[in-house]
Amino acid sequence: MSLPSGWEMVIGLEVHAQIHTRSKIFCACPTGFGGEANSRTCPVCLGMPGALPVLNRRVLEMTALLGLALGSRVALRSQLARKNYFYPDLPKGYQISQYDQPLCEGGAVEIPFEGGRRKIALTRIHIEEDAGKNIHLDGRSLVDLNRCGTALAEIVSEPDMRSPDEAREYLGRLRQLLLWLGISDGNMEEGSLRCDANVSVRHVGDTELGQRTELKNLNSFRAVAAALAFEAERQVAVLESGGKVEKVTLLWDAHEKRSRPLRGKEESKDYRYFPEPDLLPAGLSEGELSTLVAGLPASPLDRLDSLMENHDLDFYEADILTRERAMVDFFELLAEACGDSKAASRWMLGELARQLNDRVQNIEDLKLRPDSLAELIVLERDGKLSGLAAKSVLEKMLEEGGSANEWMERLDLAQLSDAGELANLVKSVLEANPKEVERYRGGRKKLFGFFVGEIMSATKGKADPKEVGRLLREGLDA
Amino acid sequence: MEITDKLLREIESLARLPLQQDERESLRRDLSRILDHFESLAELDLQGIEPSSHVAQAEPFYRDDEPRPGIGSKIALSGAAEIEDGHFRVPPIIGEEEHA
Repeated sequence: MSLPSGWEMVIGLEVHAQIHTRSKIFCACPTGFGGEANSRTCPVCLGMPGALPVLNRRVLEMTALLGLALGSRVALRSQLARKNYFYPDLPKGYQISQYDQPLCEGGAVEIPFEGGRRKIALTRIHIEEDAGKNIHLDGRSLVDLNRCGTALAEIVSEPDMRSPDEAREYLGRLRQLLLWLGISDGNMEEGSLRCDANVSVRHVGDTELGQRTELKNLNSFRAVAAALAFEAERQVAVLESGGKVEKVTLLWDAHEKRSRPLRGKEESKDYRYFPEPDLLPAGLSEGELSTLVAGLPASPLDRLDSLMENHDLDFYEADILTRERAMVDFFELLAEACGDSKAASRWMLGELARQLNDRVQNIEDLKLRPDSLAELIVLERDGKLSGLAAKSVLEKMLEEGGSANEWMERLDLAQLSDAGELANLVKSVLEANPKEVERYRGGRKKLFGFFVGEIMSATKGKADPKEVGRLLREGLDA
Repeated sequence: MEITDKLLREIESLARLPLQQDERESLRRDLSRILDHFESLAELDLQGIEPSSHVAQAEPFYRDDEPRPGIGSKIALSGAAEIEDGHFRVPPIIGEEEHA
């Protein structure tokens, strides 16, 4: 996308992430996706009169952990608040959220930028409950309240992004961190990660913000980038034709690739926020926060830098290897065990990634341990296994476990690279095919492939092709 | 405080309550008196007093993240005005979005 020159975009994102808990935020109903409609409900999440909420401790812990990882100030006491509105997916008539005293304030999400990093500042992170799901049918709507009361963290950024790509990068890095810390599964398709955006445009160099509009329903990375580009271009067109951008909320239609204004959207004061009387101010103690800090793992970008620095990988390799924590942990053990970072990276990004993808498996579910893969890499490097045979061994190890050496022997795949043995073989093949040898020597150089084929079939493909070539050339060209 | 027609209509719409004209007049008077009554709070001198959001001084209490079965869809739906396919059936919702 490109705005006409002289214009720039200003973007802030509001991200809702479902917190990975076993039970809902204010009641013990199980969480989950799908299943029989309205089966995971109780008087609390159905909004029955008199039912009282009790806050799930893990929601505080996970959200505080996120805040600590992002450098936010985490409050020892935050305030739950009622956000009042009527909608069928919210049976209480209000959502329990946070307003003027959120759990976390400030902090930043770091994104890679021009070889270094750039900080996208955060306004706040607060906890709240999710609503149920509506299904819109002809002449009626149906409501499933299974999702109602699922714990959410809402992460609000400052208007710090300047392009759709940057917004996409921010969302990607935030999602990576949520997975990294085990806070959310970040699945946009299933709605466990959702994104709204505030966007405005202004002349490059202006310090004042332009009138913003709000974009909702950005439910994929592609939708985020497409919707922002579409809306910024629309705003520029309005301003260049002498018009004024109206403060509106727009719903993105991913199918039509356009946004349409939403009618009757409430303003903040219409929600009549007030402190939630059914819950006491909530927060963790300083001791509990210190324990969380002590348990914080190194961040994805720190691990990425370390891979580039200590393992001589380029950004692309290091970036993919740090998508998931289990992946980079595996890599570092593998690189150490086989003593060859480049080979370790090549195997993980190549054959192993392909196998994982085919099996729809995660690295942590594997029977394969880093030292077993290291053994395989060493066998290939030392010429004991051909590249093709090594792949077959990997497949067996993934399916049934066991060591590379074991499988190499069981499958009889050990590469024949013993010079004496191969020399004898070459000799006998040449003796068995005198006519071809004569024609080759007479100029039919293409017959070289025929001899290689004969040797390969005699050894069931196990002969070291490099060694075979060298010996054949010796025998034929002598 | 004066409750204008515009304000009253906004309140009606937020509360999803359509009012009759005579109800509107009496409600306007009542609301106005209620708000005036609460205005008297503004007379208090609150300087030096910490804002508080809750009367209880207790330590907060949390639940462990242990799921328990809910009441099941049959009971959940037993009070519903209309049911379709295991769902609560409600009048059509058009052109609005999810809030959360």
